[in-house]
Amino acid sequence: MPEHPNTLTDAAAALRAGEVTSVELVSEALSRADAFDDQLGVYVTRFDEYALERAEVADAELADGLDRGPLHGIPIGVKDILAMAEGPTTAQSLILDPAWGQDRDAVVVERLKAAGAVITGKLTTMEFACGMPDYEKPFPVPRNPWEPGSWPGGSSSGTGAGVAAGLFLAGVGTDTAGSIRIPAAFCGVSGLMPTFGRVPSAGCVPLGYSLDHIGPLARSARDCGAFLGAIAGPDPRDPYAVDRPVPDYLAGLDPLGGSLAGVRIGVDRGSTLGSEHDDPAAAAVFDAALEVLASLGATVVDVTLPHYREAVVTQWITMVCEALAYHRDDLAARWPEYFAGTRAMIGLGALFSGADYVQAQRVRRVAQRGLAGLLADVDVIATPANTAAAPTYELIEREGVPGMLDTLHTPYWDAVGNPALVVPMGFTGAGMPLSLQLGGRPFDEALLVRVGDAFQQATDWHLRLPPLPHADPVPATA
Amino acid sequence: MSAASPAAIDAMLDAAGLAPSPAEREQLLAMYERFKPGVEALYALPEARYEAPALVFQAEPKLTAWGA
Repeated sequence: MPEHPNTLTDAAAALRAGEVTSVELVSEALSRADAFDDQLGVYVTRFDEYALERAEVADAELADGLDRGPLHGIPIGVKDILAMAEGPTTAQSLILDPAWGQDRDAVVVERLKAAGAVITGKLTTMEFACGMPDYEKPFPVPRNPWEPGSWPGGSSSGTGAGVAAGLFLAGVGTDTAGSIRIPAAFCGVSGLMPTFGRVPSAGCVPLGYSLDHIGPLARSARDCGAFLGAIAGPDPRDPYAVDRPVPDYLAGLDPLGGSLAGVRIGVDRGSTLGSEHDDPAAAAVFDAALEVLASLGATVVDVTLPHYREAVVTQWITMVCEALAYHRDDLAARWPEYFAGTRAMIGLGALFSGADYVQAQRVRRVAQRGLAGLLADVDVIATPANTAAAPTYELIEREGVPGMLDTLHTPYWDAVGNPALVVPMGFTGAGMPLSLQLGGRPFDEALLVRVGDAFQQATDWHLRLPPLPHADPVPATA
Repeated sequence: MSAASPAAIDAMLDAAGLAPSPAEREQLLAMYERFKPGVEALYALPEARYEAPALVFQAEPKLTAWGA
């Protein structure tokens, strides 16, 4: 159990009240990493000395009245596909040229440093943010703090597992098919995929150029809003970054419990529930979450997400084709050095035609138009994020991922580019997290944060902590 | 229509310079077969008939390269 506040925003308030120092927050984070990281595989690289130095600077600045905002002095982690000058960037791969990110900061890392955040290290991912762990490669295998024999989700695996286990208060993830929201859902924390173009991606290793979103994972929706405020906004080094004002994502939040009166929430069960692979508890847990939203004053109506199946297909075609363009020559020359799961996913891009890719982009427009029409009638759309628990590594090795894909409901939102927030909503019968997904209008992350915050003031799922340390030794392989 | 015959699969993998093992080739083929009906459905969507693709191209390269 962490000794200090375990939400970013509570820790920020405690720092300003003089109840805790940044050095204490960072020291506790590093102590928990010492205790649990061997079991959880959260870090690729740790920056202990650097982090403690920055924490001392943050304490001195705050004492002098220099306040850089809610991330000032807060220990956070960064997924190891974003460049950071203090250490290597690997993308958890033997392939990435070390010179690519050497002595440079990604735009998001620049902004986090300017906000006074204390970056404790680089975090595990799937190789190049896709595929699955490969036990034959010299990188940590990320594990779920709720059950170390299970996958924590990916590809922002270390970020999700590290927030859940209290190794830092928040972290950076990226989302191309669900890579922020899946680990958030599987690890029982909150994750916000911003609108495409809201956060610049320069200095982040690409997976799908027209799909990649950078965003936060943290304990609460409120934490995610605070984090997004520090990293959003245009940058001339990113051709996709959108030049729109960045609002104060915490401005509309009611500290005494938020009313959702006047908010219309559309619920799509048909597109997301009903797989033979769903956990038996999934539907009831989702319905209970909707009852909470209704009890807060929201109007809840049934809707159907337009062109759901087609949009999911466009996401896959787009991702594997754009990824293959980046990786083709390396795959041809160094096939065995890639993880097996990466080869299987990106190699698929060779089997789609140029026309298939363009048709996918036409259908993405159709889905966007349909969704815009729906979001003229409702303000937010609710679905489950996951309808089954995080799979065990043994199950993945035995059966692969196709069944699991039927129980993950994230890629639609990558295809259309709208923002989506994931918050914990309960547990399976076996005690593994299930999560609620809230999708919204482009650049309306503030409303998602408000709805998520109101839900979390009425529930405590996001504050439940995994049982650590685990008594059972972690197997060396699956 | 997207090609899916084994010979076509081999030709496309070869054209991309990829050399999967026989087991990996079968895995790729199985994944492609799983997606193929969905790909065909994209062409059958009436609303897409006159839709422009979601592609962005700017005539003026106003951008600064990262790391420059």
